[in-house]
Amino acid sequence: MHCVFRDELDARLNKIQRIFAHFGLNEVERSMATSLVGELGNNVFDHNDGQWPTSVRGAIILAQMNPQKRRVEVVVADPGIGFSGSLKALNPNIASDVDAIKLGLTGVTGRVGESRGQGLQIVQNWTIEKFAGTVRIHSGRGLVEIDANGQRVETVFPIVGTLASFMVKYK
Amino acid sequence: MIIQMLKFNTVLNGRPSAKEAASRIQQIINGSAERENVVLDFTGVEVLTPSYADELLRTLREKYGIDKIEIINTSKAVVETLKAVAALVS
Repeated sequence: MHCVFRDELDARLNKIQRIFAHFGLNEVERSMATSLVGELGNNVFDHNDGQWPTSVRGAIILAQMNPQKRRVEVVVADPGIGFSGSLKALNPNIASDVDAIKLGLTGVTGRVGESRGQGLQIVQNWTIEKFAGTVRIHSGRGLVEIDANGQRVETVFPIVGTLASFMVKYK
Repeated sequence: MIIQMLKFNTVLNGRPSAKEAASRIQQIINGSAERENVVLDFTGVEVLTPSYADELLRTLREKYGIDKIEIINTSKAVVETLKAVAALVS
């Protein structure tokens, strides 16, 4: 689903929760997974509104399930300024997209003068600790993957904006 | 004063919505917090995102003081959000 504006994301979280229920996630799992989609979706608008590089804007949310492995993978994508674009205002010495993603994952935010930046930390903590899953962030040329075994980084083909995904294993 | 969070939504998401809710709660309370606690009742709330929780609680605690804010009737998922936010704030 494509949420062009923040209000569309808000309105569709109810539907996303129902989709997770349909996938087989229990009440707690689907509530927490919906929270994670909300956090990733909020980031799209928090960091890109007013700065969209093209006329295409918004959060594109995709989910697929693997019932045999009891896994659900969710991707929240955006054609925005990416981690580097958001963080460079406060951190001009960032050398690469991988460095920008790694910095963003620690809770550093490009929103100057505000107390925030917890969203991505909670996405990582819940995905790994509550769902035994994996978080994957692809932004620009950077790809960072985090699971219980740690963090892996790679420089890959470039994209405009960001693909943030989390894979959860449910009971 | 008891604030029924369900009346804002069953899915509470994002800082802009939380800012609006905090502002509305202050209007609803309208001075009563000087005498009684602000009780946030989460009965019926299915999803509470960390950014909403952080923004709402930070605003209300700054306004009324941490001791005046009570949270009741939370689901397991809402508790997880509150725990996660508290762990990162402290």
